[in-house]
Amino acid sequence: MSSKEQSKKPSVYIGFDAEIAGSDIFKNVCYGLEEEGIPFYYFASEEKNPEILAHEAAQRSRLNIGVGIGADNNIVLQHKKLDLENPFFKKKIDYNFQAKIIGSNAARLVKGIPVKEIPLKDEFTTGSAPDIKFSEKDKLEFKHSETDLNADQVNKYSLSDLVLSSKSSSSSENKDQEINTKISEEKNSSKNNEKNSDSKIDEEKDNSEDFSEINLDSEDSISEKQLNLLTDLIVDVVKKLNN
Amino acid sequence: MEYIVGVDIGNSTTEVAVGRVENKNIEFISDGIYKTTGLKGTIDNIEGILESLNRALEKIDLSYQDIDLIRINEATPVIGDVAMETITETVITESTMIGHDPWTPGGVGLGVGITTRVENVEDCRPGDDIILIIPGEVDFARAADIINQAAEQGININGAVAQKDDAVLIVNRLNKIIPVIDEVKYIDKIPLGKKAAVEVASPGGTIDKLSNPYGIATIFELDSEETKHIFPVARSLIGNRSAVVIRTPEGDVEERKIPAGNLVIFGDRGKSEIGIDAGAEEIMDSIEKIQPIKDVKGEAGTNVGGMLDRVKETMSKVTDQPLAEIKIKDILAVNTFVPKEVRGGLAEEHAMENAVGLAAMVKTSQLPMQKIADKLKEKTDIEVTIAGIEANMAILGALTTPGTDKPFVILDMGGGSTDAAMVTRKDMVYTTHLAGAGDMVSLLINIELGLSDVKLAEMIKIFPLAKVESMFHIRHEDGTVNFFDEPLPPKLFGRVVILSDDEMVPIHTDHSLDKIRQVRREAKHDVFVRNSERALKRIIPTGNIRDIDFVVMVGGSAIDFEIPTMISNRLSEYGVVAGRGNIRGLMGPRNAVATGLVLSYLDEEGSVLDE
Repeated sequence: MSSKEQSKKPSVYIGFDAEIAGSDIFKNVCYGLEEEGIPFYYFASEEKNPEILAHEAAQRSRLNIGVGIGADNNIVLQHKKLDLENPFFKKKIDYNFQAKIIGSNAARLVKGIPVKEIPLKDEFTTGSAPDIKFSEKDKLEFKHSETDLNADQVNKYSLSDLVLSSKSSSSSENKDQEINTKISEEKNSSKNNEKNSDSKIDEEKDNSEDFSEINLDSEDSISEKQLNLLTDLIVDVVKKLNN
Repeated sequence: MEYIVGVDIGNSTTEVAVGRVENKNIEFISDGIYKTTGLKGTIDNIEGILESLNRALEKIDLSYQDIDLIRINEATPVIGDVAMETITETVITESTMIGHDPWTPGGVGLGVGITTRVENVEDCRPGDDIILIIPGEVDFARAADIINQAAEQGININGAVAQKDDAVLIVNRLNKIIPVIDEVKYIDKIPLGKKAAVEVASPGGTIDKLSNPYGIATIFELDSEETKHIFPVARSLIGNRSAVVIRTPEGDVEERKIPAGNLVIFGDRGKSEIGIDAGAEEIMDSIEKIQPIKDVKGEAGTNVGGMLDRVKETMSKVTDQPLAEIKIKDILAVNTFVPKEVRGGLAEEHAMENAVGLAAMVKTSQLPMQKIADKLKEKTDIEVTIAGIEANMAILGALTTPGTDKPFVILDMGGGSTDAAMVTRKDMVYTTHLAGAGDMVSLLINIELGLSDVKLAEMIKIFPLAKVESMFHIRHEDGTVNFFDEPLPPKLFGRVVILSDDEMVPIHTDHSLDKIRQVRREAKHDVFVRNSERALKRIIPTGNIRDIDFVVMVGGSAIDFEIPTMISNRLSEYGVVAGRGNIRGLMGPRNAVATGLVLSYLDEEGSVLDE
């Protein structure tokens, strides 16, 4: 499937602070959308204000719905027709599972069915649930992530589709198309990085009990150097877009 | 010139009318309304009377000193009460089914295998058929990984049941699509090592194998006797998008009848005994056969007995009369359904149980109105008299509706009871009182929608519904669309809302707008349309509804936006002109009795009726 076709597909847009690329929160928002079966795109930005991110995302979404993930775990759910300062929903997230519910709420906005309440506790991952041995789990998930990359279904939503914006001369109407051309270029240039970051994503999932348990320094994850490379790339592209 | 006040104490509201009398002419100058405080006919009513009176006087800038006389009605000593009795119960023994319908099941198709928990997959051999049980602590990616690995080893995982809302996420990561059901809350209760079937319908469809008894019989190789047993399972799964059925040797789902007690109806022509579980139709049949009723008793020790005793006790306290003298004069039974959580269920599934709603009406010889009159006089220092019979006053008031004439019938539809009075050309007055009115409708709505919130049920009864379709528009019951300039609050999004006067109230259930509307209209039909026919048949001397020309509906429930039209439609079949009253041409269906009380001042004893 070419990326050009994809961007024409109506989808929910997720705009996130470039510094949190690949974080648990971001991934859980995606999982929420995926579980509800609504397609989505995401783009990284230097912007840290979730309201601005969400507004931008909503403007670009053909489904009129945007999600903004800013600094300090703040998530905003926005509709194209709502004011920047008055978003549909705004919350500072305490647990990852809440981010997943916000993701599914974004999907429910598209479907026109009632949104879910955000519970304070996840009955399945806190309290009674037995602890999972991390070493074993990490191993399993690492394996999994590689199969994942080959599976068509998942590739649809994986980082290789990351909508990074492009070209200095872009007028706003043509943005989308240009994004696509750029993507294919980027796909090739950064394939390696993305593969790595993808594995990182899968490894980091779950474990909503403790953010610090799994972080970027973990052994199996992407090296710092690689991460910097990727972040630079993203920042660079966003800058270009803003110009 | 004199100022006269009429006060009508009803079951739910207390209404006041103020009239100025000059040269034998009465001019109505004000009115008031307040909710009845305490039970009708008790000293507690004083507060409501004063509130209502103050409101009326405020409008015209008069004080108590200006009023010459207060006339209160000889209230009909009628009190209604409502109750509900479940008569069936669905019990799952040994957890044979999960009639569970999550929002987002994953995959599609039918899978059959042996229930096995995730951690036990390693022990399985190639060629085994498995239904995988995935508890909440297992991440979806890991679950998908396990399924993919097992498939590589030749183990057939044909379906899965997950505890978290993960089904689509799992299926998206599989090499081969299998049906997955999620949000199964009590996953630990699923029996392991048993044959199970998981079915997920394609989007927009419903399952067809597990909702068919022979489909289940085919999968589990059942004989005819066993197929009979699992029929309730299949039936309860009809219309679902997904389902799991697990067969355990002793497993069974049964629908039991709960012994709900008997009603004993005493009439002039003998007595009749009937079980509540026979259903509403049979109960109403025996009531109509045995009319007029002297008393109704419930079997001691049963819920029905308890309910009827409670009504009688209340009445006995109010009137200070011995319990033995309190008689139940009418009963209205309505068939209904109650959503009840299934005992032994694994995912909080509900089954619609049959139930019977009962309204009872009690009559005593007299209410202590004199006490209220004395107390009112003491509080206001105005002369108070008890005047006229309620029905006569209501007729007098209702006759002020433009376009009416004798002979006609008034249907007074309140909260507790439906009262009817007929006046003939020769001014003969016949009255009847029936159990069942607005409160009964609220009860039926409340239980059938499983709201457990009577206030909300009451609002559903009173106001129309709408569906919030986007942040900026709602769709009304009739399909018309309303747009707003300001975005609607997020909590309303996608919900069915009640359009009350000043705000939209969301209804937090999964019921569709059509379902809620249907329940509301059926409840109103079952109570009011049926009662109007019952009432007319009883009071018309000839027993033939065609013999009257006019029916005027008054009382609180006549204000309703659809009850009067429903009754009008029904009665038009008999060629009767029926409609909502318009007292004095401006009050609508309210204030009939209070108006009648003022009007009757000119001719005491209500003799205005004699031309």
